[in-house]
Amino acid sequence: MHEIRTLSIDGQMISASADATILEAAREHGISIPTLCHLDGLSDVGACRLCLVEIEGQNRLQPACVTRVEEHMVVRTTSARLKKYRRMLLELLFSEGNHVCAVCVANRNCELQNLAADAGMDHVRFDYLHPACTTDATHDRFVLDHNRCILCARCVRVCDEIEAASTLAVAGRGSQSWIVSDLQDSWGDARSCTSCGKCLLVCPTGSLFEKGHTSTDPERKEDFLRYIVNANRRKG
Amino acid sequence: MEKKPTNGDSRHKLLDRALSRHQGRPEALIEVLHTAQDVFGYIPRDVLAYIAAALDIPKSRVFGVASYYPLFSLTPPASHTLTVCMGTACYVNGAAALLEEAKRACGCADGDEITEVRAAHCLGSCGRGPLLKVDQRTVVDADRDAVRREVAAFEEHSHDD
Amino acid sequence: MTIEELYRIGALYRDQLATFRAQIQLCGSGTCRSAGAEELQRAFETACEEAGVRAEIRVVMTGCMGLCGSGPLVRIEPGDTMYVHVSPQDAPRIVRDHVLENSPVTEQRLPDDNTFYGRQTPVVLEHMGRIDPESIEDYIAHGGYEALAKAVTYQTPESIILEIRHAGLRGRGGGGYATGLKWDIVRRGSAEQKYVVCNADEGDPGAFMDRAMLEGNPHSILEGMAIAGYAVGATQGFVSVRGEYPLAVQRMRRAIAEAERKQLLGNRIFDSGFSFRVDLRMGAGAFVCGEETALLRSIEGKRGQPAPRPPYPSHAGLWEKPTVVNNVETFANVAPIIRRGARWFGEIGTARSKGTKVFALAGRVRNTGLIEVPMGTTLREVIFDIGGGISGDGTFKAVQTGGPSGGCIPEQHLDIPVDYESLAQAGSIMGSGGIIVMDNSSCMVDIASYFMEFCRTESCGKCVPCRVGTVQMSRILERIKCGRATEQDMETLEELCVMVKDTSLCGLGQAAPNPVISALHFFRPEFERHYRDHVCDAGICRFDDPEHGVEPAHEKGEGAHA
Repeated sequence: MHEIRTLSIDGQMISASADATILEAAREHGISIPTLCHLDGLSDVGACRLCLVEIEGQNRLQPACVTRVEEHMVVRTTSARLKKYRRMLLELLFSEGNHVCAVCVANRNCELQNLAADAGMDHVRFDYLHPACTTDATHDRFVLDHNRCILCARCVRVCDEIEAASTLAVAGRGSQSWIVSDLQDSWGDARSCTSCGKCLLVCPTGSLFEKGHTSTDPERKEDFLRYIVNANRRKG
Repeated sequence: MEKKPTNGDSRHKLLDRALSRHQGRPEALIEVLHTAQDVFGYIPRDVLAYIAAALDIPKSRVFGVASYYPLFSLTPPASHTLTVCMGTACYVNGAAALLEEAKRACGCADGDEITEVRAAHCLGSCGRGPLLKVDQRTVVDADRDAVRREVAAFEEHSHDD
Repeated sequence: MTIEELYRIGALYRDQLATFRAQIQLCGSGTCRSAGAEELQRAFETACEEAGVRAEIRVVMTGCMGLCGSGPLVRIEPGDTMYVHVSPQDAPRIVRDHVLENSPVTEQRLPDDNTFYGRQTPVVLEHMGRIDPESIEDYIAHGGYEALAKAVTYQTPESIILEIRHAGLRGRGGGGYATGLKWDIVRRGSAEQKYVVCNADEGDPGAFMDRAMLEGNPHSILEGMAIAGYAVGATQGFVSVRGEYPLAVQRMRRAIAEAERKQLLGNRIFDSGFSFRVDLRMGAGAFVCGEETALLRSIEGKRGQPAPRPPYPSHAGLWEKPTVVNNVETFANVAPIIRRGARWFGEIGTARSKGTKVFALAGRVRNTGLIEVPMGTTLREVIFDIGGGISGDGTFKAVQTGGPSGGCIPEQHLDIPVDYESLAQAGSIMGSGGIIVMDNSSCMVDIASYFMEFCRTESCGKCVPCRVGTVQMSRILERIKCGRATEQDMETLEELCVMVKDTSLCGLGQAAPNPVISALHFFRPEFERHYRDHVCDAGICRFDDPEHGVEPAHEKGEGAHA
């Protein structure tokens, strides 16, 4: 039996298991917190910063995805400041890549696009950086388009933690980071790839997609993870 | 097991020695990459593959680490490197002008094959800046003339070859 | 090794030193080496040879003597006489006149009443520049490893932690966290395996304290680490040395090997139940590895990227085990505290910042070098008394502390004492100890842009605000510098500063806007003159160059970095 913690999120008193994160506790009670690098079933990295929340008595904002609930914690998931920061974070992401929604396979089914709409982002006030990116279409079935990558590393984690192929990794650093397969091999030549396609299913944008698709399936695609994780848990 | 890099020579012995010193433990990756960088002057692709197999680390992760750290280079080095220290102390003493001079003197806005001009973040001899590093030798109290002198010396050497 | 043996080794070495008629000590820091110290050593050896006194004179290369700007430096003992800017041609005369005939050469001699050394309080630098860093015996002869012997033989781990807490030692890497408190958390951790990590991955541009200490007195760091190990119950230590410091790496490796040979590291140290090993790890050039969680990942052989805290390393550090992470200077303070007591230490410094602080003084200041002053010394004393004021004919403009995470402090705040709280109040931070003095030849917009560019290239890329925010801020600053910025840009810049500070994952990102914020706070008119009037008073920025400020698009993906 897990220990229980009682806390307040957005004024709502809730109880949650002591090892739950703020994000888990909030979602369980129907309070939504925007996320991008988080995905149920994968480890958390706290990198996209969209899930930052205010905690009373703490100076710093904390990522809800990795912060555990505590007794009597008072959490605010939304405020003028948080809304502003979230919008700015999204603007930064749009400025960083080459996100052309009209020709994107993920158009209307894209987490980045949805979050931008939710945040009321009607334009980007930062310089578009227009990076010169390549697209790797050497794999039989899959394509990796670096133009649309936001470096959330969900593909890297699913490849490593669920499929255990570890074909994908983040290479380089800073604004010069990119997703790599094996030793910077063309994806088609990456011998460790099992072609399982999980990376496509977890990609929040249209960076990873199946050849020939101009728009993807509109249903929530990462649901499959829940089955795998639950199955693994039952096995273990 | 990944086969040994093709151009087998004494350098590979040094690499193997480093691998066995660390008993093939994956946490030794960075130490082993240092050795590879040292003995080859850069880390060739086949060496990366060899290290990945020897330490039993996925190739992508080895590439991720090797490409993350600035002291590792994945491409062969130029025959000479001229490094201008751009640490704060050197910077307030005019290092930016030296860097410009170095690029101009080498005639390479983005590096030619003989001499590579680099900007270092700090070489740690801040009391005698601006600093210049000519291959492995550090020049203290450097000025534009020192840059021109060193570049001219490179060119002389390359004619000798 | 027993305590008696340790004393014997020390006594033997002191006897040996006493047989010399005189000592010629040469500063062997990386800086003085680059300025010709090795050639100078040969010149002194030859001069002694020719005078027929080679066997009677000890010519020795020491660690950093401090006054870097005046190197190569030479000290003659007995007498503690220092010579500056010594060249090989000077060697015969110094040997003849000073060493043999005892009449010091007046030229190049540093006056005994100089303010550079006179105003300092050496604690961690006490033996630096006086002992041979490659000789463990020399360290032992100067009281080295006595604190470790005392600790493991007579003291309990609890009493050591109490001593460190009473001394009031705070982390010298910049954070200022109470060292004893940190150790106590690790000691209380229930894990079987614990670690001690020395952060010697010095990355602040313009700072060289760690380099000097690693090169000049590596055993003092090892001794501090071993005492920490005993106090927290760790058997394994790692010292992560910046890869760009080959001499420091070499000296530290040698020190570890010597200490192992003398059984001062290894199994059952001083016949106690305490065993402790230290391994050296070489950094690979990533500034962010100064952040402790990133440092630990790099020691594990991974990409050195920070992780959210909590959990803190004292709970879950290296391989998830409780880990003490302290910087070089913090560890170097440990043995002196154990040897001389918390009360002695507590008498140095201010109420909340005890002890001394080592600074690397550089930039547009007359006496550049490595200094150690009591906490609470004012910046003015540091710059104008110890530093001798502005070099050349410029006038003082600002002093930068804390590197890329710090800020610039103008004239009107020069009388603040250097301690953790006062510097933070002035909009900067203590940082690891780099002090860069700037005169009117520096443009504060350019300096702000310089630091932002630094953070941009050193961002690890993991979190969005730091990875992209630093790029955007850098571009705006670049535009201000070339006169193409608008009021809107200024507004965006300030918004980004606050947002990146509040939302970044680690200290690097959170502090990246600091140099800009402090420059805007103290030097806003300079920014306005740039973007409104296209005037740079320092004459650094160019407003007519069409190429300037346009950065090439970066490339990503396969083949982009081949």
